[in-house]
Amino acid sequence: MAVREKKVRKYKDSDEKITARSLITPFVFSLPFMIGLLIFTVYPFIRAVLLSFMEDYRFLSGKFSGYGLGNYTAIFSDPNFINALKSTTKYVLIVVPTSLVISILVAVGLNNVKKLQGLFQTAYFLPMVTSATAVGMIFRWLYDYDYGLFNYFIGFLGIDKIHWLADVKYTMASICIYGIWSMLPFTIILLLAGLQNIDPIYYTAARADGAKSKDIFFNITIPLLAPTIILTSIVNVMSAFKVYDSLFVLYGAKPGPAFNLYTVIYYLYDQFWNKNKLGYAAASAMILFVIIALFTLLQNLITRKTNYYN
Amino acid sequence: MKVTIKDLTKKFASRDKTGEMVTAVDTLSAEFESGKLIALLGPSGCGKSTMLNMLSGILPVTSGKIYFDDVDVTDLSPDKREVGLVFQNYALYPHMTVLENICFPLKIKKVPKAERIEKAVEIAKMVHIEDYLKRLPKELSGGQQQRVAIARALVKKPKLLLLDEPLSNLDAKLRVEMREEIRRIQRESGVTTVFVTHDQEEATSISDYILLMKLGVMQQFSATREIYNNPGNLFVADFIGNPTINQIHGTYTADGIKADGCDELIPCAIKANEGDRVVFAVRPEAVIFENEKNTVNATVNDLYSSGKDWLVNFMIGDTDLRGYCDADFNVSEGSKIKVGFKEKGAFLFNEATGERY
Amino acid sequence: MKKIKFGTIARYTLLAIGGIIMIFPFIWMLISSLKTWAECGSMPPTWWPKDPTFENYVYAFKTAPFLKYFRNSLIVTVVCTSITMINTILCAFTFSRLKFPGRDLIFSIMVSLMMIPYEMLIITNYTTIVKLKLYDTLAALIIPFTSSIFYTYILRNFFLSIPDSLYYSARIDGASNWQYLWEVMVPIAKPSLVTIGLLNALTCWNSFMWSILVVGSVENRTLPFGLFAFTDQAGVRFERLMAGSSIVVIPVIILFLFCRKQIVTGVSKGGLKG
Repeated sequence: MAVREKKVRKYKDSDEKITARSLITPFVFSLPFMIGLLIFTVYPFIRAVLLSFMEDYRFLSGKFSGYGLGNYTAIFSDPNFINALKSTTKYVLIVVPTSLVISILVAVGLNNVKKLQGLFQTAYFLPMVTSATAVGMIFRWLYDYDYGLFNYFIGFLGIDKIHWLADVKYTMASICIYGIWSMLPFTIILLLAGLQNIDPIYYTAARADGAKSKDIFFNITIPLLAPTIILTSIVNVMSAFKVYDSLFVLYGAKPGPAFNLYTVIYYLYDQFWNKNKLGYAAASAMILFVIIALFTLLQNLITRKTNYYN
Repeated sequence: MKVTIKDLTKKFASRDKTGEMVTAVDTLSAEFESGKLIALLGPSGCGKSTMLNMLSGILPVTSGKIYFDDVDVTDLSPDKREVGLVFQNYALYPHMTVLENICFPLKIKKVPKAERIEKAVEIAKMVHIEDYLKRLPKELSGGQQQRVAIARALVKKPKLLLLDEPLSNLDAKLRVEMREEIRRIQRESGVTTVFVTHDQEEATSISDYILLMKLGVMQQFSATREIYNNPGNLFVADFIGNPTINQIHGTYTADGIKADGCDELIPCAIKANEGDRVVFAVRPEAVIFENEKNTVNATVNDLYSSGKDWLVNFMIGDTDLRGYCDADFNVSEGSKIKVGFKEKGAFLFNEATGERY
Repeated sequence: MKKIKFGTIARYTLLAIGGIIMIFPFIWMLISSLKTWAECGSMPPTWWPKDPTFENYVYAFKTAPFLKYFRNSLIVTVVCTSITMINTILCAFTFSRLKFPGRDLIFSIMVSLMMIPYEMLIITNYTTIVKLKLYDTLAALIIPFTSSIFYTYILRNFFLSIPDSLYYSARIDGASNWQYLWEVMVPIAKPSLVTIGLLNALTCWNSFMWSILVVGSVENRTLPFGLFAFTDQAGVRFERLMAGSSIVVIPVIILFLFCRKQIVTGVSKGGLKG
C-alpha cells in the first residue's frame, strides 16, 4: 500500500456558480475603463483600418467610392512618403545604435560607482522627464547660427559656423544629435536595471579565475546583458520610428528647412491635418502599425526565449 | 458550537486536458462536538484543506450539507458564517500594525473605535502579543505572526476557529511551543476548533479528535487515543504513530502467520480465514525482547539510542522491523535473538483491502 | 593599488563629464533666461549672467498668459491622473481578483492593443472630440487618456502577486470586494500606485501634439502649447524663450529631484513590456 503520497494535484475550481451577481461586479468595476477604451482606442483603430482601404474618401461628406488599395498605391508613389520612410529609417539606424553604445558604457560606469550615485542618476535621467517642447526650444537656441553654443564650440576646432537648422546638409545631423541625447536616459535606465540583475557571483568567479576588467566586460557583462540589450534596442527602434515632436518644435512645425525631413508620423499628420486626406493618413498609419507590430512580435519572441534569465 | 457535516462532496475539474472531474472530498459525514479541538489529518492531496475551505465558505460545495448547530450554512458566504480562519502563511495585512490587523474584522463590522481597541487588546493579552501592538507584521517572528493571526481570527468571537497547517511555517522548536499555545488558547476561549495538518505527531499531541482522510475519503474519525489504539484499517495504523507500525506480510493459518521469506510461524491471537493474505501490524512498543516464551527467530541489524531505551532494528526473514528494548539488554549488530509480540498494539489486516480483522 | 585608484578616478571623471553634457542644456536654459538681450546675443558667451535679471520672466508672464497656461496644465494633470488612477485600480482589480468567464482572453486582447501607435488613433479621436462637443475644452485633453492599458497591466501584475489568502482572510473578516480593494489591496500597492501616478502626471504635463489639434483658443492652452505659441510673441529673443521654457521645465525638475527613485523604478519595470 502506497503511503503518504507526495502527489499534489492541481485543481481548477470549475463548479463555482456563475450568477448574475458574480458578473455584475466585474462589469461595473471595469465599465468606466472599458468605455474609454472602446471610444478612444478600439473604435478609432478599427476606423483607421477601414479608412485606409476607403477610396476617394471625402472628409466633409464622409462619402467614398469603395474599398481598395488605392490609398496604399497612392502613398507609395508619393515621393514625400518614400522620403519619409527613408529618412525615418536613416534616423533609426543612426540614433539607436549610437545611443546604445554610449548607454552601455554609461550604465556599466554607473553600476560600478558607489558614491554620488544619486547625483549621477539625476544628471543622466533628467532629460527623460522634461517636455519635448521646452527641450526643442533649448536646442534651437544651442543650434543658433550666430550665438548658439554648438557653433561657438566648433569654432575652437577651427570649423566654420554651420547653419544647423537651415542647411539641408546638416539637418539630419542636428536631429540625430538631439535624438541620441534624448534617447540616452531611457536606454541607460533599462540597461542599468539589466546590469543589476546580473548575479555578482559571476564577477567574483571571473576575478578568481584571474580575468581582467576588459575580459569581464566582454566575456561576462555583455553576454549576460545581451537579452536586455536586444530588447532595449527593439523598444528604441519603435520609439525612434515615431520621431516627430522634436522635429515639429525644432523646425517650427515644418518638416525641415526645405521640406526634406519628412518622417512617417510627419507625413501622417500632414495628410490628416493640412491636406485632409484621411485615407492617405490612415494608410500611412497602417504602415506604421505593421512596422510596430512586427517589432512587438519580435520583442515577445525574444522575451519568451530569454525568460530563463529573468 | 457543534458542527455537522453530511455527505459533503467536492469535485474539481482536473487541469489536464481530459476534463475529468477529480473528487477531492467524497461523501464525508461527521459531527464535531462543541468546544473540542479536531484535527483534519492526512497526506497532502487528501482533501483536508478542501474540507477546511468548505467549512469556511471560501469554496462552494458540490453536494452535501454543513450545519453549524442546527443551522444549514452550506450556501452562506464566508462573511456570514462567523468563523475565524488562520492561514498557513498567516495572511496578515502587511501595511497594518498588529493592533490594526486585530481590529480589522471589527472595523469592517463598524464597531466603535474605542470598543474595537479594547477588545483587540484583550485578545492580544490572551495570545501574549500585547507588547507588539505597534509593530508591523514583517517586524515579528513567525511565532508572533501566528499569534497575531489567531488573535485576529478570535477577536470577532467566532463560533468556529479554523487553522490551516498552522505550524508548518515554524522551525521545530517553535512548533512544539506553538502547538501547546494553540491548545491553551483553544481551552481558554472554548471555541470549537478545526485544524488541518499532515503531521500525525502534531495531531495526536494536541487534538481531542482526529479525522483521518485519504484521497478524499474519511478513513477514521475518533478520539485521539482511540485512533492510535484501535485503528480501523491498515492506512490508519500506518499513518498514526512514530516510528511507524511494523508490517509483516504473510499468509494466515490457524497455527500462526506464515510470514513471507521466513519459515517460522508467527503466533497471532486474532482470527482470520485460513489461507488469507494478511498484514500483521505491530507497534514498536508491542515488540517483546527479553522473554523465554518468545519463539520467533530474528537478527539484529542496528541499534539506535533513544534516551532511556534502545530502538532495535531487526529482521524476521526479509522483513525489517523495529522495537524498543531496555538499555541493559545485551545485544549488538548481528546478534541472533528471539522476539515476541504483545496482544495490545498488534493488529491484523487483510492485505488486499486493508480492512482489519 | 595605485592602478585601481587611477581607474576609479578616471571612471568618476568620465561619468561627471557625461553627466554635465546631459544636463547642460537645462543649465544653459536657466543661465540664458537670466541674461539681458544684449548679453544673450554676445560672442563669446558669458557663463554666468553679469547682471542676473528676471525681466524675461516678467515679460513672459505679461505678454503671454503663462499663469493661465500653468493653471490649465495643473488642472489637466491632476484631473487626468486622478481619473486614470481610479480607472486603473478598478480595472486591474477586475482582471486579477474577480472571476468571470473569458477574463484572461479579454485581458490578452487588451494587452495586444498596446502595440497600436497612438498616432493611428488621432484621425478618428479628433472627430470624436468634435462630435462630443469637447473641442477647445480642457476635457478634450483629459478624457481620451484615462484608460491606460499599460498602467493596468503593471498594476494587475502587482495585484496578482498579493497572495489569495489575504483575500480570503478579508472575506472571512467580513469585508466586501470593494472594502478589500480599498482597505487592503490599494494600501499594499501604494509604491506601484505612486510610480504609475508620477509617470502619468509627467506624460500629461508634457503632452503637446494632441493639444495643438483639439485646443483652439488661448484660454485653454496648456504650458507646452503656450510655450510653442510664445515663439511668435517673443520673436527670435532666446533669453525670453528660455524663460518660457524654464517655466515649463522647472516644476518637472523639482518633481524629479524628489521622486527620482519611484520614476526610475517605474520606467525600468515597465520599459521593456510596453
